[in-house]
Amino acid sequence: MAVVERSPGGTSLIDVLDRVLDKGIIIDAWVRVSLVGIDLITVEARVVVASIDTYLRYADALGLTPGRATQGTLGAGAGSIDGVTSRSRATERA
Amino acid sequence: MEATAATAHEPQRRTEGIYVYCIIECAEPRRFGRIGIGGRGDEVYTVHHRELAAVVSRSELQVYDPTRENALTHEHVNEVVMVDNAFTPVPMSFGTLFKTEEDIVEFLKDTYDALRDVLKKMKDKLEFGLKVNWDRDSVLADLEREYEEIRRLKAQIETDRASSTYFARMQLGRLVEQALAAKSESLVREIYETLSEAALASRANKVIGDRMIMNAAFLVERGKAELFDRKIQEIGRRYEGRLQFRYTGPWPPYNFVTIRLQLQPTAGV
Repeated sequence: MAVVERSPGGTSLIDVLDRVLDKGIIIDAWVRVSLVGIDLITVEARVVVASIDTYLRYADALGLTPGRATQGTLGAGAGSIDGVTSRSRATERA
Repeated sequence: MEATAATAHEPQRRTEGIYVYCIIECAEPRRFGRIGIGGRGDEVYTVHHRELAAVVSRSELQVYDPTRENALTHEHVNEVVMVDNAFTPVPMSFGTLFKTEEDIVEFLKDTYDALRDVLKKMKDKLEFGLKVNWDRDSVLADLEREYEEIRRLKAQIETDRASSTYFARMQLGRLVEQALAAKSESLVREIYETLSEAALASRANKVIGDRMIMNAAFLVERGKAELFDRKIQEIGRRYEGRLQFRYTGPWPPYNFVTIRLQLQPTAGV
């Protein structure tokens, strides 16, 4: 019998929040977008920014400070990829 | 429910968007069931660019709060993709929505090289979580046995009640703190060493609360998941009664993929 039981991923909210909120692929857009004006990109950006604000409040409540831990990746292609552009046909409203 | 009450009579339709859960390598369209976020039973399906696919579902274009239901739904979709269908997902952070499928294709095109590189490195790898708590009181009792200086100061404070023991107390406090830190460090190092044979990489996250001494994630080859489990059991037996373990997974490799993307408008938009 196992001495240490393994819980499947999605069974504990705290373990899930620990991962899904500030890890993985993060679209980091607010800095530029505030200058852009009204188009699709601002919509996307608002979505992202707002959810992160919410997270900060949430994290405080849970006693989790969202420590911007330095990532110890495999030296994978992780890291920031600047200048990714998002062209969007849907925005061509002008 | 309560949110819709105020807007129920508004004639305008809510704007629709597309929620993205993760990116996988997959050239053929796939469906993963009606398990999408938002409580409407939206189908989870794939949007493709070459051999990359975003796993998505239609959703109202809204800011999702990380409620229990929403966060667990996001993770559940990732698990269905990873566990039930044996893909290696590169997970999106919670709450990412695009307006149209075309936008997602653009996103996949623009980040194609980076995503492909990460997918290749993460192929057939799983993440496991390990949190370790100790029982401070029993550790303190151990320290008292191990450190003569702690016993001596404690005895001095106990026998010397009448006079001021302020200095001795300070000294004892400092000593205990140092001893605790050294103890925790050596336990954590032993645990890492035992697991390193079965894991490809690890990441130490911040510990939460003063009982926790380790909050780590490990990246493990699918084929070595059993070995990793055996190592965990070995550690569990070695520290039985002294340490408590919270062992979770498999997870998508959240802790080993950090890609921050910055959107910017292209000239001419």
